[in-house]
Amino acid sequence: MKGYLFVISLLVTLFTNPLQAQDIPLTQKAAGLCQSGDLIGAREVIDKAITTAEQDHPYCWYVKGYIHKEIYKLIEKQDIYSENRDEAVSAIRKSIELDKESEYANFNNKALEYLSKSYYNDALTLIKSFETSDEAVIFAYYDTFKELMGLADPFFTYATFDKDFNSALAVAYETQYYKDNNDKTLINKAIAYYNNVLTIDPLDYTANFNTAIDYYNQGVYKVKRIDYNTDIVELMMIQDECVKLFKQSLPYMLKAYDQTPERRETLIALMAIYRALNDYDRSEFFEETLERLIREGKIPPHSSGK
Amino acid sequence: MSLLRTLITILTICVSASLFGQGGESPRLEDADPNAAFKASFLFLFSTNVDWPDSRKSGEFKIGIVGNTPVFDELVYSFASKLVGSQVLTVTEINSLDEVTDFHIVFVSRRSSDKLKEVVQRCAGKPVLVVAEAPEALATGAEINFVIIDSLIRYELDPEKAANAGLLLGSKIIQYAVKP
Repeated sequence: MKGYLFVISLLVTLFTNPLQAQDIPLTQKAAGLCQSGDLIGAREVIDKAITTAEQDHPYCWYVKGYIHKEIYKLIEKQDIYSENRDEAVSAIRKSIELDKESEYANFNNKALEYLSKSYYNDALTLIKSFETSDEAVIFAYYDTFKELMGLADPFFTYATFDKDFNSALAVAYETQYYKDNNDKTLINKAIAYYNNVLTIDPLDYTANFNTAIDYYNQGVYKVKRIDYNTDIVELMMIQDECVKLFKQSLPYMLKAYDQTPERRETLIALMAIYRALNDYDRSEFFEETLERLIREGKIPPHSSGK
Repeated sequence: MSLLRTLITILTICVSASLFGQGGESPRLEDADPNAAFKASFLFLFSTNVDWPDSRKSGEFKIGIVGNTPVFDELVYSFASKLVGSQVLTVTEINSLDEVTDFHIVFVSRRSSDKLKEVVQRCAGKPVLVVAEAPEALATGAEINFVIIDSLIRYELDPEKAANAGLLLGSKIIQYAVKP
């Protein structure tokens, strides 16, 4: 409905300018078909229009972009691999290029904004059903989102989107790693993406907490591989590696603690990390802190599971 | 089981379902005690790298633990029933110090360090390897003592005292010990 209002307002604009209306009859017809809901018919007509002199008019390309966008939205139901969406983007770009007076800038920008966000949503959708092989596609979609949004709104700020995007990728790699903790590249990628999040927002609790856990757990997995065949040299080497990981974990968990000093999970993690580093005094400090907070009713006696 | 371990276990049970399977935000903290695992591994390595007198080369190979420590759980989980030479390893919590001479190795845990002196006195001249984790434990009479160096668990030892008890420490154990 909102989309049709755009077409109607465009047609009104067009009919108040007789010269334009006369110059672009096929475009006008395509816009009318679009307005009536015949998107496929509208596409046939607009594709004819761009083979005529109407192709020099920015409105012609805007209408083409709009029709493809509507097909993507209403017929293809926002298919992640839609070619109509790509066509819509190309047409809108062409319209912007021809629109020297920025007469259609508002319409083009709104269409671009919609299309841009659809690429962002698709990038996140792909992350949710993550396969590591999808990473190139995910980044292509994300880059397209940023490029189109930059065209639509040069002052648009991406920090929140960059943060959420990197965070989603970190969680995706992390989830893959915890399914089979043999592949260290997965957890290294997760940590790298969390570090991107922390570059944007050093106080992001989840990124700090999860990075700390990821380092700590890697150490624990190494410990769990020790068995009765492990000789003394191997044991000492494993210990060196583990302590290095526990030390890497600590600053992240301390940052998480600074932000939420009364969260059960953070306190338990600090107890564990300090204990793993053989610092029993500090481990016991956090154990006592947790017990005190439970006594004071600031933390429930048992985890709520959230 | 320590409070920390209990808490981690409760946390694991409560939150693990909501984390990955349902798209939660945080991985769970792995339930383990790395230091207990390292100490248990060292104790097992001590058992296999000491030449015990013939009188102790038959029957079960017994490790006794003095005090409540997660090292006990780790030893039971990872090494109980394994073979030390031809002997099956058993792990026991020592309730009465009267029993200490029944064991090949007696580990006196950090929180029970006040009992180290009595353990050492009871084991004097007997083929029992006393392992501790306390400051000045060698001076008190333990043969081996765990120490912390830059967050790492290492050990110091007194081979002469071990030899006096009829225990010949293996070259690897001696090689990787830190100087007291």
